[in-house]
Amino acid sequence: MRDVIVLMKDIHKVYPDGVYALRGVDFELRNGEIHGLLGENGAGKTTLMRILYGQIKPTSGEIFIKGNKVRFNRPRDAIKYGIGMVFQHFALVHAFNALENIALGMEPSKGGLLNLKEVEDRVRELMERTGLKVDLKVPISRLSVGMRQRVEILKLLYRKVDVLILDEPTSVLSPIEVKELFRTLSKLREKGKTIVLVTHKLREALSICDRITVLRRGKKVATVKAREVGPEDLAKMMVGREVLFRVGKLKGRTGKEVLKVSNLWVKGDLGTYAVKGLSFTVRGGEIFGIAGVEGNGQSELVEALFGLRKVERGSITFKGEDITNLSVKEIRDRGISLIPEDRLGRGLIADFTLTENAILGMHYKPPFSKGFRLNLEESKSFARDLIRKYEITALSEDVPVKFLSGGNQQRLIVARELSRGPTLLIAFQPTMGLDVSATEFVRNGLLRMKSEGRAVLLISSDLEEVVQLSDRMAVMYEGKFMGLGRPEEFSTEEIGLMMGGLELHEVKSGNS
Amino acid sequence: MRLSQAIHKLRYLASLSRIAQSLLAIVMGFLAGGIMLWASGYNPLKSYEIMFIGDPESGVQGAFGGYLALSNTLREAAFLTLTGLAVAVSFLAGMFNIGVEGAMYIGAFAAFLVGYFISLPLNPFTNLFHVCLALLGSIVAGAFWSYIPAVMKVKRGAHEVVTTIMLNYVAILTTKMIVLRAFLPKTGIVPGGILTPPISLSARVAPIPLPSRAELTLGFPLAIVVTLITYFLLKATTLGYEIRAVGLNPRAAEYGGVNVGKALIYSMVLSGAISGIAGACDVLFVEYRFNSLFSPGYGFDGIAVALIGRLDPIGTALAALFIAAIHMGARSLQPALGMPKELAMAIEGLIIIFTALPEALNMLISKFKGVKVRK
Ligand SMILES: Nc1ncnc2c1ncn2[C@@H]1O[C@H](COP(=O)(O)OP(=O)(O)O)[C@@H](O)[C@H]1O
Ligand SMILES: [Mg+2]
Repeated sequence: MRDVIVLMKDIHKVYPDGVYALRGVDFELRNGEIHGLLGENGAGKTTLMRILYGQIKPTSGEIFIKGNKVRFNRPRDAIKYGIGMVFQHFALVHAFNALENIALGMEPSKGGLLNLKEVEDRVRELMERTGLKVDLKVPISRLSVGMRQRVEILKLLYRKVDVLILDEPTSVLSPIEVKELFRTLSKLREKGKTIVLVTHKLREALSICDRITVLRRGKKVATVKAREVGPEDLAKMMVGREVLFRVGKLKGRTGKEVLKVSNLWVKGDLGTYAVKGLSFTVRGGEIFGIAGVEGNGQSELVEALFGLRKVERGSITFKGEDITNLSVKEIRDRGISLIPEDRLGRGLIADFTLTENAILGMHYKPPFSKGFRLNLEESKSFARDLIRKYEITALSEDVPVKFLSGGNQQRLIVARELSRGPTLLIAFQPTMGLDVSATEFVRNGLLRMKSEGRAVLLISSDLEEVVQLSDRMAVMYEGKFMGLGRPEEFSTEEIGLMMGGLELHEVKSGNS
Repeated sequence: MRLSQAIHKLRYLASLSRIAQSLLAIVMGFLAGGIMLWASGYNPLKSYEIMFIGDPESGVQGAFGGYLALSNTLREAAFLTLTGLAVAVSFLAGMFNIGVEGAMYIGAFAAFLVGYFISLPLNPFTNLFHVCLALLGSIVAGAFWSYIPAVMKVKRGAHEVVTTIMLNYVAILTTKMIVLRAFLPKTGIVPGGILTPPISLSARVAPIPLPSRAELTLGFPLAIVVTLITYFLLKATTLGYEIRAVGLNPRAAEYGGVNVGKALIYSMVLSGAISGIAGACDVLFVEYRFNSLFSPGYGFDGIAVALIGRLDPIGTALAALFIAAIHMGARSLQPALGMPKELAMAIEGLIIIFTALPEALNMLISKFKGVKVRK
C-alpha cells in the first residue's frame, strides 16, 4: 500500500443552523494520487474539504496528516501542513495583478518588506515547471475565469502545498480549458503532488482520477478505483438507484417543420451584432441542439426567438406564420414555451409563492384569470398538481420559491413550461448546475416532448447533453454556426474545434 | 428526505419572521424613545402612558384616551392610510414615487371644483350623487397627475424620483396660484393657507357625532374601504399580480408575458387615484373648501407609513393608525408634562425612524443588489 498522506476519521458536521451535513465520513488520501470526490449537490463535498482545509471545524472526528493527529483552526494551519484549497468562487483581489495576488498574505522576508522581484522569479520558475502560464502583470479583472483559476493554483503551489484541493474547478470552464486544466493536473501528479478533485460530473472524475470517493447525503458510499468502475456504477452510487444514463435516442417520426429561422441578425447589449445571419429549422418530433461555449450569441438568439429582444434583420416563422418581433405574450399564446437560462433572474420570481410562479405566463388566461380576477383556487390546485406530478419537494404551494433548492426551482420551471403543452419548447441551459437526479428529470422531460411529436430546441454549453439528446445539432461560435448535422457525424474533437471557431469544412479537411 | 423537509421548514419560518421583525422594530423604537426621555429627565413609562391614554391630573387626553382625542387620531389615520396605500401601490411596482403629495393636492382641487361649480337642490340622493361625482373627479385628476411621471419614465426613461418631486411643486404652487387669481375677492387668507370659498351644501358630508361633542369624519371608514379594495386588487386580480411581479423581478415578468411599461403605468395611475381620494377627504369631509396648505405633508409621511406596513395594504392601514397615534400622543406630552415641543417631536421622529428602518433597508438593499440570488 502506498503511504497515506491524509486520513479523516468519522467526521461529523452539524452547521449552526441545524443542517446535518456530514454523518460519519471516512476519507483517505494517498500520496501522489488524483482523488475524485463525487456527489450530488448538497452531498457534503465542500463541507468535508473545508474541514480538511481548516476553514470550519468538524463537530466530531479526527484528522491525521502522515500519521500525526492534527487540529486546524484556520487555513493557515492547513497550509503549514501542505494542504491548500481552491474554491468554487475565487478569492482574488480584482484590482491587483496575478503577481500581487500570489504575494498577498505572505510573510515578508526581511526588513518587513516583500521583495516582489524575488517572488516573481520564483513564480516564473514555478510556471515553467508546471506549465501553468499566466500573464502576471495584468489585473485579475481582465483575466478569463480559466486564467484566474491558474492564479489560484499558482498561489497555493507558491506556498509549497503538497495536497491541492479543487472544488468543482471545471464548472466555470469551457471544454478546452477543462482539457488544459486536466493536463496540468496530470503534470502536477507526476511532480508528486496529491490532488482532490471535487465534482459532480461523472465522466470528468473517471477521465483523470486514480481513485474516487462517492458521498451521498453526508455519508460515504464507497471509495473505488476509477479503472474498475463505469459511469453507470458511479451514478447509481451517487443517486442511490439506477438512472437512465444512455438516453435512448428513439427514432421518432419527425413531423412537419415547426420553426424556421432565416438569416437572423440580432444585436447584443453592447450594440454590436451577437447573432449574425443564422438560419435553421426545427421539426415536430425532433430535438435540435445548439452547442457552443457560453457567450457566443446564444442568449441573444433565445431572447429574439421569444420576443424579448428585437430582431434587426431576417425572419422567424412558426407553423408558417411570421412571428418576427411579436410580443412575448403573442409568442407564448401561439404555443411556444421557454425554459430560460437564468432560473431566478428570468424563470422565477423569488419572492412569489410556488402557486404564483406556477401560473406565470398563463396568469392572464382562463382558467387562471376570470375577467380581471385571478382564480386563486384554480391556481393553487394547479400548483399542487405540478408538485405531485413533477415530484417537487416543497412544504406547500404557499412557500416562496426562494426557499426551494435549485433543483426544485428548475423542476418547477420545467413543470410549468411543459404543462402548457407547447408546440415548440426552447430549452436554454436546462440542466446547468443541477445534480444527477434533477438533470435526469429535465432530460426525460425533453425526450417526452419529442416523443409526443413536439419540437424541441435545446441550447446548451454542455456538449455531452447536446450530443446525447439531439437528433440534429449545430455548433455556434460568435453568432454563427460553424457546422450543422447529425451528432453521429462529428467526433468530439471536431465539435471541440468548431466550438473554438473552426468551420466544419476546415475541420474535416484538416483531419483527413 | 426528512432532513431536507426540515431545512425547508426553517427557511419558511425565517420568512414569517418579517412580522416578528416589524414588532421588534416597534419595540426598538419605543426603547430608543424611552432612553431619550429618560436622559432628558422624564419617566419613560409615564410619558408613554400620557401619549396613548392620557394624564388624569391635568385632564390631557392621549391618542386613545377619549372620544375627542380618538376622533383626531382617526382623522389623521385616514389621511395616512390613503397616502400610505398610494405609496405602497407604486413602490410595489418598483416605482420610487415621491409624488403622492402633489397628486393629493390635484385631487383635492378637483373635488373642490366639482363641489363648487355644481350646486344641487339638497336631498339625500343629490347629496350622495354630488359627493360621488366629486370623488370621481378627484380620482381622475389624481390618476392623470401620476400618469405623467409614469409615461415619462416608460417612454423616455426619466427617473421618477426627480419627476415626481418636481411635479409636487407644480401641483402645490399651481393650485395656490389659481386660487389666488380666480377667487381673489372671495379668498380667505389665514395663517394656515389661502382658502377658497366653501363648496355647495350638496357636496358636503357631515361628520358622525360621537359622545363628548367629538365627531368622526367619513375619511376613516372610506380609508378602510379603500384599503380592502386595494388589498383585493393586489392579491386577487391579474393587474395586481403583474404589478407585484414587475416590482419583484421585471425580467421574469417580461418573460411571463407581462408588459412591464404598462404595469408601471397602471401602478402609478392607481397610486394617483388613491392620492386623489386622500385630497378629496379634506375638501368634502373636513374643511368644505380648498385650502392651499391643507396637508402637513401626508404624502411624504405616507412613505414611512407604507414602509412600516411592509407595502402590504392591511399592514399599511395598521401602520397609519400607529403613526397617527404617536403623532397625536406626542402632542399631549407638551401640555401634560410641560415638555418642550422640540423634544416631543424628536421622540416621535425617533420612534418612527426605528420602526421604518427594516423595510427601508430591505428596499435599499434589493435596489442596489438587484434580485437576490441564493448561493
Ligand atoms: N455555511 C453553511 N451553513 C449551513 N448549512 C450549510 C452551509 N454550507 C453548506 N450547508 C449545507 O450542508 C449540506 C452540504 O453542503 P455542501 O458541503 O456545500 O455540499 P456539496 O458541496 O456536496 O454540494 C447542504 O445541505 C448545504 O445546504
Ligand atoms: Mg459544493
